[in-house]
Amino acid sequence: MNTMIGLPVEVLPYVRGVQLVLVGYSGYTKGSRIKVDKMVRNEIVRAVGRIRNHMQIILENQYREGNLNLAQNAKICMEECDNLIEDVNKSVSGMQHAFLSGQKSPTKGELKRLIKHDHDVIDMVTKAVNLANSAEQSIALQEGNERQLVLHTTQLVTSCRGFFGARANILAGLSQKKKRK
Amino acid sequence: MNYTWRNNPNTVARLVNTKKIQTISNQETVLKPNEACALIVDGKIGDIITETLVKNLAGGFTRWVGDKFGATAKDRRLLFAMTGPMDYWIPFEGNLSSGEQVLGNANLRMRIDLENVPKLLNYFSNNTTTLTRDDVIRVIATELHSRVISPMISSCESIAELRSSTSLDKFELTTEVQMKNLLSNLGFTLLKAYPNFDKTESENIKANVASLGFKIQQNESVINSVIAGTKQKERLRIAEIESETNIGKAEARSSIQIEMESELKELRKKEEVLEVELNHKQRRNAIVEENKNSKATRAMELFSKVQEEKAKRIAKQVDSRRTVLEILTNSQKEFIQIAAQNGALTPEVIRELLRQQTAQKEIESKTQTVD
Repeated sequence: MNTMIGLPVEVLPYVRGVQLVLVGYSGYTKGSRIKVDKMVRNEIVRAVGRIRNHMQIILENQYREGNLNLAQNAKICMEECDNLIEDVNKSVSGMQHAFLSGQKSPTKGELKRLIKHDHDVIDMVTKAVNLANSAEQSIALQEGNERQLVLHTTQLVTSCRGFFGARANILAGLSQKKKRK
Repeated sequence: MNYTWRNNPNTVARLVNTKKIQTISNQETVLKPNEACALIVDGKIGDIITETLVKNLAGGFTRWVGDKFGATAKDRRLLFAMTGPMDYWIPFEGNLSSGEQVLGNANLRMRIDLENVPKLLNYFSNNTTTLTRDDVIRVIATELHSRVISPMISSCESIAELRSSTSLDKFELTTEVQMKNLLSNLGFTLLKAYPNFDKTESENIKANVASLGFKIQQNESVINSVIAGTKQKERLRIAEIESETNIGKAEARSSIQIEMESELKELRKKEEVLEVELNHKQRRNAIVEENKNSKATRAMELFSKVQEEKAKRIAKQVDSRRTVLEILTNSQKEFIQIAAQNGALTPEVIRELLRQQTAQKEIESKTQTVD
C-alpha cells in the first residue's frame, strides 16, 4: 500500500474495485500518473476489443445466415467500438514534467473524481462486454432477443464514449497551475 | 541522434534490423500515439510500445563494444507500424450481368491494432522490409476482387443497382466477412469499406446525350430569344410604319376633308339656292294648281247644284204624278163603287173606264218624254 499514500480514504473502495480488473492500479499516486493513465486506457481498449470481437462473430454468422439486419446492427456496434478505441488511444493523458510544463498537482477532489471515473468507465465497459457475450450466447442458444442485446451493447459503448470524454476535462484541468494573486 | 523510421506518408510499417545501423552515437526515436514498435529480440516478440521516447534503440559506441564482447542480444529487430486508421484505394474492374463494364475503386479504411503489430511479420517473412500502402493494396487486391467485388458486380443488372445503399451496405458486410482471414493474418482491422464506381460507358453516353440535349435546349432558347427579339423589332418597325402611314393618312384625310368641306359648303350653297328656286316654283305651281282646282270646284259645285235642282224637280214631278195617279185611282174606285151601288157596273162602263185610263197613261207618257 506504499503506492497509495496520499489518496483520499473515500476513494479506496473504488481503487480496490479497479484493482480487481486492473492489477497494479495505484490510483494516480505521484510519479505514476502517466503509467496509471495508460494502464486504464489500455484496459478500456482491451475490453472494447472484446466487444468488437463478439460483434464481429455475430456479424459473420448473421451474414452467412442471410440475416442482414442483425449483421448491420452488429456492424454499427463495431463502428462504435472503433470510435471509442480511437477516442481512448488519442485522448489526453496529462504531462510528464510537471515542474517545467507548469502542470499543477491534482487536488484530492480531482484525484477522487479521476479514480471514480476510471472505476465507472471500466464498470460500464465490463457491462458492455457481458452484454455482447450475452448477445452471442443468445444467438448460439436461440433464446432471448439478440437484436435487443446488440442494440443495448451499442448503447452502452456509446455511453462509454461520452463518459470517457469527461475524463479529458479532468486531466485538462491539471495542465495549468492556478495563478495566485 | 533521432532515428526516422517513416519518411514517406505511404509507409505503413518497417522492419528494422538494428545490426545494420552502425553509428557512433546512439539512435533514439519518439513514438507518437499513432505509431507502435514491436521489439523482437533473438526471435522472440518482446514489448509493443507506443507514445514514448525509445532511447538507445540502435547504434552507438557502447552497443558496438557490447556486440564485440557478446554482451548484447545476437539478433534485435524493431517492427515499426502505424496504428492509426489509413485509407487504401484498390482499383477494380468488372462486368455487370448485362455485360457492361464497370470501373472503380474500393476504399478500405484499416487500422493495425497495437497487439496485432507483430502479425506484420507474416508479411515481412516473404517480402521486403518496408510495407507501403501500395504493397498492402497489392496483397489484398486479388482476394478482394475475387471474393467481394466480382460477385457483387456480376449479380447486379445495372450501375444504378450497384450504387444503391443496399449494395453499399452489402459490400461492407461482405468485405468484413470475406476479408477477415487475410486481414487478420496481416494484423489489420477493417474499419470501413465502400466502393466508388467510375462513370460507365452507358452513363457517359447518357451524360453526353443529356449535355447535348441541354446544349440543344440552350441553343433553342438562344434562337427563340433571337427570333423573339427579331419579331419584336419587326413589330416595332411595323408599328412605326403603321403609325407613319396613319399619320400620313390622317394628314391626307384632313386635307381632303378640308377640301371636301369647302366643296360641301359650295354644294350646300348651291343646294340652298336650288331649294329656294324649287320652293318658289313649287309655290307658283301650287298657286296655279290652286287656281285650277278652284275653278273645277266651282264647276263641280254648280253641277251638283244643278243636279240637286234636277233631282228636286224630278221628285216634284213624281210626287205630282203620284198624286194625280192616286186621285185618278181613287176617282176610278169611287166611280166603280158608285156604279156598283147603282148597279150600273156594266162591261161598257168598265170598258169606258179602261179606255180613259189608257188615254190618261198615254198623256202621261207623252209628258214624261217631253221632260
